[in-house]
Amino acid sequence: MSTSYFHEELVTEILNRLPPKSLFRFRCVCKIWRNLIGNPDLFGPNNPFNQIRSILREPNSPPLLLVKAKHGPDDLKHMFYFLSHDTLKCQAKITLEDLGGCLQHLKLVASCNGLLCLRDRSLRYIYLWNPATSEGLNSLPPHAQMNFYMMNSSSFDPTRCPVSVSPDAVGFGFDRRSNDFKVLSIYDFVDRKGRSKRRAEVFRLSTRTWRRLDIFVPFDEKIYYNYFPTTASDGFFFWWVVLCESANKFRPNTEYDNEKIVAFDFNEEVFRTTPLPDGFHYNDFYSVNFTVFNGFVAIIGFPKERLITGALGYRLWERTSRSLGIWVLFEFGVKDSWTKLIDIPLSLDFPEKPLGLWGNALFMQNAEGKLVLYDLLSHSEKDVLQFHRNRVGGDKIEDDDEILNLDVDGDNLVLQVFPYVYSSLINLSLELSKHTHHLHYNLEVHEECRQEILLSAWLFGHARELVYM
Amino acid sequence: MSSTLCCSFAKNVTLRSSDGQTFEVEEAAAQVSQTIKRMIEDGCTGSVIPVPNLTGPVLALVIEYFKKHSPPSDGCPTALLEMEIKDWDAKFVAVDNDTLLDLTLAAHYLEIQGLLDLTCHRVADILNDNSVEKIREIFHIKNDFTPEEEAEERSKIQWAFE
Repeated sequence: MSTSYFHEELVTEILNRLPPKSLFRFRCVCKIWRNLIGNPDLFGPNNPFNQIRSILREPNSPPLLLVKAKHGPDDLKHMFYFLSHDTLKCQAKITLEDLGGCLQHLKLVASCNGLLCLRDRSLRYIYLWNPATSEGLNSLPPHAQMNFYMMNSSSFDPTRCPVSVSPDAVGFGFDRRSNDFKVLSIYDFVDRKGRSKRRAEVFRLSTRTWRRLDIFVPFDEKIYYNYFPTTASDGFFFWWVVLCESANKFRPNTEYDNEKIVAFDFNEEVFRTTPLPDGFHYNDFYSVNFTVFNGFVAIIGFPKERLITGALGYRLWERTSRSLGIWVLFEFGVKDSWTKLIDIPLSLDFPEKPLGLWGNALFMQNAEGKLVLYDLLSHSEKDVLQFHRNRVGGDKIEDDDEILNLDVDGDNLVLQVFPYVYSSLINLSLELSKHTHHLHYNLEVHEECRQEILLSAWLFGHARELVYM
Repeated sequence: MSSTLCCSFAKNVTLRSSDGQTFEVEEAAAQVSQTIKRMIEDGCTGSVIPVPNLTGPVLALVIEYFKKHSPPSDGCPTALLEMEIKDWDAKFVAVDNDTLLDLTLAAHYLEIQGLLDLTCHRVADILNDNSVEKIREIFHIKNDFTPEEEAEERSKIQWAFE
């Protein structure tokens, strides 16, 4: 009966290795276990939840920070600067020359296990890139959506043409079972009777071929919007699917009915869906970030301001809620497993925009464009990242000029910054370390980026060795 | 010269289990355990090192682990060797539940990080596949909830039971 000696420390050691669903279930084993596991409030004291996985997923090798800069529209060169994670010194610089003009509007689909999937704006071309090799972008063979563009006018048959659904109708992930990277493309196909059918096809890197999937695509016909497509560990790619406005006109009573999270499972090659928590609508938030927290789908919602009429007839902005919330979906497909992790009370000068989660910290951008790191365990915040952007002549940047996005690839921060600004100088100073949250770095992108500037910063692990690339 | 000569002869230590069985093992191998390493550094060598928390059969298993995981005499382990050890580890913990839990306790007591990771992972895998009732059985845990309390706990997190 040796097991009577199992003390709490050792039980915690074991519980730390369990997924949340099991942890929740094992609260019923006995009172000691219930107290060890704690409440579904994951950030309570003595709670093993906050250590889950983050301990277990130490990267094998230190990640690199990738900063991407693009020349102006007339000079299509993409420059990638690789910076050491520890010192943030530039280790290497790679320039991708755009010979055919194809790389214009190059956008990141996702990064997964160090491999990047990129696409152009129209989704005509999809690329895979392993920055750890010097091979440059690897253009995928023609897919159905691309064939549409390749048809010349003489052979053009409108009843046979696949129609692009949306530039976001592409996903990227890693299949652990077959140890293969895969790209998903969703398109509409009009048959000879003029009926539109939604289809999906998958590209496997190992065979370098596209294959049509004979599965149901749970995206409503021609009426979806994608918000924040994002990738997670364990071979899933997610979309937040919302009815678009024109669809609402025709189906007024279904305004939010189809708001849901859709995932493509790259292991099983099937779609899975989960409704949002009850009473949870995109429009209720001033800003929302759809992200991944330690491998689980997460939503960070910042309440909307609404205009109210005060007692004396003054119009005032009022927030619909006094806090910023983080919701996590612990079991994909199970609506009840949406759990509100934390409510962060608002203060007057509270940052305006949630960006993403990294470890146990939340990144936010405040009104001045400064990035703030909020530690969910200690409930303290720090300024970590500052963007000083100057226009020629020193004009201030308008709010609309930038799109800031944050994603996580495994343990690593993926920070995309797309300040669509005309500038002669970008200074990027960051202070970032997963463990200490202290690091200083200043990046000046100048001269080489004279006009339109597209700056992205990714922090990600070394790519797996890809023998077949 | 003399130090080279010294190293070529493996130094042994003797470990004694709670039921009085003794085992001789190379000192370098036994130092995979931080607890034993400290004892050796404190000058316990020469005499028998007691391991009062482990029975003979469990100590025998732990010594097998020591032998497989002792630092190789000729420098870095090769990738092939690492893979072989991984396979060996997987087989090593494919034992009945009671033995597995004994090994977990032994790894904890003897501070063998590698073995602790290995056994805890295995235990977690087993737990993951089992019901609450089965887990009480495996761990010999007495259910100290009243039926009402347990029903209330379950109702709070119904989705986790589906």
